[in-house]
Amino acid sequence: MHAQRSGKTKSTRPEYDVIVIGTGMGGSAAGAISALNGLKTLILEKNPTPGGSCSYYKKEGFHVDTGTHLFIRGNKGPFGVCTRRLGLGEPLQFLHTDPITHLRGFNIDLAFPASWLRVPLALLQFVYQADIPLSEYPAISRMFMDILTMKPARIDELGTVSIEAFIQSYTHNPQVLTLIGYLMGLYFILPAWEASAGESIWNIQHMIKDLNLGYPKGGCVTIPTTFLKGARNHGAELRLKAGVKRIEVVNGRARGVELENGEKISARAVISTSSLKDTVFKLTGQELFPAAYRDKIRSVKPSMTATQAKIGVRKKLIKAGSLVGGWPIKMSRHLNEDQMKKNYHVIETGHVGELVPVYVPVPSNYDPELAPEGQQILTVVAVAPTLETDYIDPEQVWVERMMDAIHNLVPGLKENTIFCDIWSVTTLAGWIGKDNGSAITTGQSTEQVGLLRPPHETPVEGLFMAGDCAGPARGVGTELACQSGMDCADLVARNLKLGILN
Amino acid sequence: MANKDRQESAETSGRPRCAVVIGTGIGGAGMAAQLAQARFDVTVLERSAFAGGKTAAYTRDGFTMDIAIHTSPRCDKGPIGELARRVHADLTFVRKEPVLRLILGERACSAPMKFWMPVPAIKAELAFRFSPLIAGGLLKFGLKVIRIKTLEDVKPYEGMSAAELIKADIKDPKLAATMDVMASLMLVLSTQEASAADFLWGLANWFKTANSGYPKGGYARVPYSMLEVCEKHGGTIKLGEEARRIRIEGGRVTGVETEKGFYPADIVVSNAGYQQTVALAGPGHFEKGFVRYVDGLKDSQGAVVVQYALDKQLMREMVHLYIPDGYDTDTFLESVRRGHDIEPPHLYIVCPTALDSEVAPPGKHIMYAASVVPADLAHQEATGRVLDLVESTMQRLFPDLERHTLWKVRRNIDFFATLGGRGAAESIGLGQRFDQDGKHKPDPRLPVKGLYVVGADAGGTGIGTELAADSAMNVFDMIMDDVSPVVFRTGADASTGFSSA
Repeated sequence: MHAQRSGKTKSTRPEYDVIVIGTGMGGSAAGAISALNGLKTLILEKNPTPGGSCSYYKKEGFHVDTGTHLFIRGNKGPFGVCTRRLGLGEPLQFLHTDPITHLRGFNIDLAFPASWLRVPLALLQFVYQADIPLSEYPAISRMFMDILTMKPARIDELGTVSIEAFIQSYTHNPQVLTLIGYLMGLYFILPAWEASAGESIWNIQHMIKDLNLGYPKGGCVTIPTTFLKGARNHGAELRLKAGVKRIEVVNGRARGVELENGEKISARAVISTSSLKDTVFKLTGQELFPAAYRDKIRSVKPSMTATQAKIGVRKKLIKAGSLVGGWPIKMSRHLNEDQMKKNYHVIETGHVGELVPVYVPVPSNYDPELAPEGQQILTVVAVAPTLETDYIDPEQVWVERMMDAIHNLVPGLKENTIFCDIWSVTTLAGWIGKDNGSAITTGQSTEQVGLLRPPHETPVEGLFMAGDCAGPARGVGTELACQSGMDCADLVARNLKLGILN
Repeated sequence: MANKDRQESAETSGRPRCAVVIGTGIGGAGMAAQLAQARFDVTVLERSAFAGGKTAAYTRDGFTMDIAIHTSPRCDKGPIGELARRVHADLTFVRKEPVLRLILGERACSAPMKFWMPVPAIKAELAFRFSPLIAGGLLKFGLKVIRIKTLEDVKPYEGMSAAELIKADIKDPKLAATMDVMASLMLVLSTQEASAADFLWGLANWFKTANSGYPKGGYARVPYSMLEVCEKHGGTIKLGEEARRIRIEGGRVTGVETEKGFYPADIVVSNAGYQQTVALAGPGHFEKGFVRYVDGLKDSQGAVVVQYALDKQLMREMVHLYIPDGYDTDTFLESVRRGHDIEPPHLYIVCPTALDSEVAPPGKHIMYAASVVPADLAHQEATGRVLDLVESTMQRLFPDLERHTLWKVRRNIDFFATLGGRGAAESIGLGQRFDQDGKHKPDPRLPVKGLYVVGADAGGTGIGTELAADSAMNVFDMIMDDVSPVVFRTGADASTGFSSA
């Protein structure tokens, strides 16, 4: 029988070693690794289902993702590291498609094949459609060769250089800048002049090296739920519908949390995977942090976000694993790069732009069991600013523009739609518990990569940040968040065991 | 993490989660390790003075001897490896090719355990001079085996005996005898009794994984490494303490009584055997229909084993399989039950030192030789004579045997009966029979809340010790789904997965 309680009351002994707030990629990884490290861990999720932006719901026989994701490293990246550390081996199965993606936008309309034999033809088509002058080929080839062979030290250097600046060191051709800049920045939902070249190159190298652009069997949600299973195997507890109202801080030290229902739970450390701003200003109380830290947090730039549509389709209208591009497809042939910039600036001020950039993973093309036989589920995003921007055009207008774009990009979609769930930015913000609704709360811009990203520790002792908001991890959003979650959990475990945190 | 750290970390404030595990076979040990790692307060009760049940070890003169005879069909790529990884157990495997030497009558052939490759098949053909007519039948059968990928694929074979399955494709008597011995080896049943589904499943996994071997340090490392994990996480193991009664109140377990005291528990997992567990709980707690069903369950057959400590290596391969001409398990078992004119036995011969030299002192070797026999103790005298036949056959197969034997141990069925604690000498708990497979397999969740059976008897699929390890993982997952306030599902049904707490 377990040891008899000492005479001490509950309040003098923390109930848990670690409380993790959130079961998104960051929270589920942090909770799992925390439990693996032998710490008594409680994981709290405000929603009725876990996963955050990697959660799901069922509708009319479809498995519908709450977010919009593809993954680039499969089990060779942090997901595999996490499941192997948890003693689960590699239960996640990452599936692939052929064609890989369909690019429709920026004057291009072509499918990228998965088989190496068909790639040269696709590349020729690409070059023809993009109408890039012959004189640019040497520079472009050189750029891609450099990307593929770049050494880690140089990648680090390019961390603080924008994608735009990087491309411009090879060519100033507007088509190349627009198109390649858009594609390289797609990982980050940031425009080419803000996103980090080093981060993008790192992703490209891993994507090509690991040849693993894919999507997990069973849906995105299998990733956090597998971590949570590992967490449970190591004694962690999970509570759903347990939103955190406040993080309790006593004498500059985080002591636990208070739930929405008033229940208080004590712990030696708290790991928050909400955003920095939400954690500091909403959950804790800004007066508990030094002014310099508060200012730093306020200046953290989030990635852009998107309006989303989840569309159940009667027929398989898209053959590739995803569709990426924008509407209208045709742009001025001799595109001035300023047009792209102008479009973004318009978007950033809260107006819909003329061009609607669109990205549509098709989960059921990867795993047919996610949709009824012969049918298809589309997860559509159209870039939109975060709620830190005042929306001049109301959200409804943004939604209409997105639907117009997707109906044009996918002929036959309107007639074959079984259902269409709209996720406005506000809806997303509510689900993931981050007031600004950003996709990656600390965007991977040139000032916020690697060691320049906010650290896991906060000025409040015992309060840590993990996930897409903090930590020097890199990669695409979900994989970065997972790595960050693991890193933070290991850091907290080390601090607790070494007595740095008692 | 050391015991000390565990105590220094926060005390349990929520629902206490106490578990009692009865039995330290692979099922119980694996369960204890997982529960302790999941922060249950675990007490393990083992009635013997030593842990490990049928996979225990004993030492003598510097030899680490398995108490019975085991090899692992899939090693780290099978359920034992998966279970060890789950609990970060200190367990490794040794393997090398060729694993198996097949001796049919007077002819022998060593081949790697990869029968889907043409080379070993050709070698075997040349060695045994199988009739060319068998090629078609063997191919058909082989294709059936290769097609098995998931448990769904064996469903069509449920309720059918392995004999029926084999007879459909394999006409050559030598090949049929080989298949018969395979079934006897894997399931310790005659092909007339064995489930075709379980036979195919075992065969498919075994040959397709092609990773047979032996745990480094002896087979007991499997349960012992698990028990080490249990203790590391604060679990307690009580040796020499027998569970007397499982206490049940209001339809749920409250704990386990032994002669020394009472252990309260929210969860009781028994590795003592399905029928034994129902007996410990008291049949009065179950519906009559259920008790009848449980009473009707039949055990596997048993085995007799001769263990040799040698001063010379007599075998290069890990396993020799000797099949006398005209052998058939059913006929052989009948002859033993008859008690006279006992047929020549087939022999399953294992040499652990061919893989891991450290289980014996330097330069010394170990061999185990076994034959299947009826498990009923009434036949003890006849099985004693089978032991004589095992010894004489071994002497014939290995002419230098007597000269190099330092000592030997004979194990008759009475020894295994004591080891298993079930009153009979079965090798693998409840038999994987055609009439208790598929839907008729016993449910590891007993109809009393918080009471589970783990081990070869229920919850798993596979061969022998791997069956037990598979059960340990599956039943643990069931327990966590039952106990944990949130059910983790990977994919399909969110609506049924989450409590409305």
